[in-house]
Amino acid sequence: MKAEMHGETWRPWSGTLDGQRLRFGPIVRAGLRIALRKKLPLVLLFLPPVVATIIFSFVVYTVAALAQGMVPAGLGAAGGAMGQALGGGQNSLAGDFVQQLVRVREMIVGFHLSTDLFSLLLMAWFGAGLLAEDRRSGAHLLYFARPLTRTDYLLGKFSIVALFGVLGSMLPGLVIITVAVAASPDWSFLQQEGSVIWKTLLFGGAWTIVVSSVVLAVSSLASRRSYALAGVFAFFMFSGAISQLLARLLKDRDWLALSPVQCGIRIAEALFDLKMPVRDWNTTIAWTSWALMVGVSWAIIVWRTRRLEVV
Amino acid sequence: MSVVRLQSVVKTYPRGKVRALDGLTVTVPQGAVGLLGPNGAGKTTLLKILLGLIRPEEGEVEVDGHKPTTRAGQLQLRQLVGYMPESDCLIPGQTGVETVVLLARLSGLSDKDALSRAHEVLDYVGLEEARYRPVEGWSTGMKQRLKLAQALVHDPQLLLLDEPTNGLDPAGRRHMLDLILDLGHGRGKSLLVCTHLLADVERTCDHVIVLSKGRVLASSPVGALVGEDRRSVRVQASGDLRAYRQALQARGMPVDTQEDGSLAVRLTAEDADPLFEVALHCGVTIRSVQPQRSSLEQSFLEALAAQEAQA
Repeated sequence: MKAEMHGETWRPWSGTLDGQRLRFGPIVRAGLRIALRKKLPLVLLFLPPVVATIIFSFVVYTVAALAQGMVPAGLGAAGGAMGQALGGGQNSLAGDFVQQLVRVREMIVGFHLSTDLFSLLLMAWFGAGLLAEDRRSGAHLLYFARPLTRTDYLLGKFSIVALFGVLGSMLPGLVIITVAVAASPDWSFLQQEGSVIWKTLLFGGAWTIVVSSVVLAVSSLASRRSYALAGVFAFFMFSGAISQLLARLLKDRDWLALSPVQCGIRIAEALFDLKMPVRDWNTTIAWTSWALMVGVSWAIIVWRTRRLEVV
Repeated sequence: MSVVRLQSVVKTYPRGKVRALDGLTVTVPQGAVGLLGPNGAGKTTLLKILLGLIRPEEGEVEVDGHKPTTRAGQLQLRQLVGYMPESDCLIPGQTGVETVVLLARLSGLSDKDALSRAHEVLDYVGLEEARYRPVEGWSTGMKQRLKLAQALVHDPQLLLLDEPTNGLDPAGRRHMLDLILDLGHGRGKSLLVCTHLLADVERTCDHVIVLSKGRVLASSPVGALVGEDRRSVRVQASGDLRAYRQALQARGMPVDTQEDGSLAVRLTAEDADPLFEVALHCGVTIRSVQPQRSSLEQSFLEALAAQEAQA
């Protein structure tokens, strides 16, 4: 839409209106256009995951290369030093091939958990205003005077937040896995640790759904974007603090399930088969807690959106 | 032929226990129709019911053969109706043309049609290069025109305009009224113009419906309400006007002296013969007798006064 003048005059329209098509697509496109308009938040919020992805890709590539007894071209002495730092020298890495692949998997999980926090920032920043600002600016009167269902409206809004979640949590993980697969000898990472791919997709998808739902629920309750943003951060911080406090006071680690972040860590450990007894609490409770958070969030979203459409 | 039909519609707002529509029964004919009433008469509630944005507790509603009280009916009629809300509403972060394109897409137009139609209607309402600027910085008049443009973009047969001249300066008001006049009379659209400004209705509409306290006080062609009142006449005469005035009042005919010296006389008989009889008796020469035109405001106030008297 470049800035040029159009000379058309208004005239009767002879076409037919499409009555069947799902209408959330235009909402997603409009939402993304608005989100991409301001460059500084994009740079600030995407830079850390991008840098982390590049660094982790390099480390994973190095570990995989060392595992097959090769120092990557151009690394020279630095590669040897890194090999020492990563696990006791080049020879031992080459000698214990499977163990190194497990280390790659663990690195991917660790990377996952760190980028998920960045994805939380992304989803909160770009999703907090989606429903709150629509209400404040009266946009719902324009939307719902159209043949738009609440499902289409919510699907459009959810897709915007979820897309940033996918970019922040799933995509970096898949990039690292691709590097690991490509760097491992004879596709051995794919053969030995191939399940990491679907586990990454499952974990990233579940995390995205949980956070997107919470962000939209808070947005539907807030009267403006800044309040919604504060509400999202308050929810994640307070739920984390309270869950830790209750777990210590009552000496029952299942209380950690009150925090979506703690649930995420527990689920990741269980899903990627990591042995970390310090976090050894019931994984089913963690999954149930996530499901409950999504259920309650959507109950709030549907209730609030219904009030937007029908008084 | 009617475009809207309401039968015994009741809507109560539970918070204020206000009966916004109190058994409203009305038929809206094709053409430009003014919906008049004081603040709180139920005008905006009526418009929202017609779009299905508010659900009535009782009664039947039909808009162009569709029932806005059912889900299917709502979606169908929203393709046929254009709605210009009263309140300040915009889609945050978007330019004028993006707003209209998005809403056109949601109405069922293809990408290409939506863009060309958006420019056509923005040209029509007189939004020139401003269309490429974010709408948050626009003046009230520009926002009003944008609201009209988005209501027109899918070329609906029925337009629901809620206080279209609200907040406009005299030039902006004149422009908006010209557009409404053109839509109703030049483009053959059916309009329901909701306003409390009588002059707007008098200028743009063919038919008027007067609402008060959720009921219809009057529904008739504008011409019938503002037309000639044969029982009120303006008399220009020469001679002893003081004696003439006293004699007329003695015969039971109320008389007001106008600024130009003429007399406004309310006749008690079907014809003007008594005027001449009294004039002959007083030695006054009558130069002209003209029917006095009553204003819509006068009719409106009379209708309200009659309702008050009944209450």
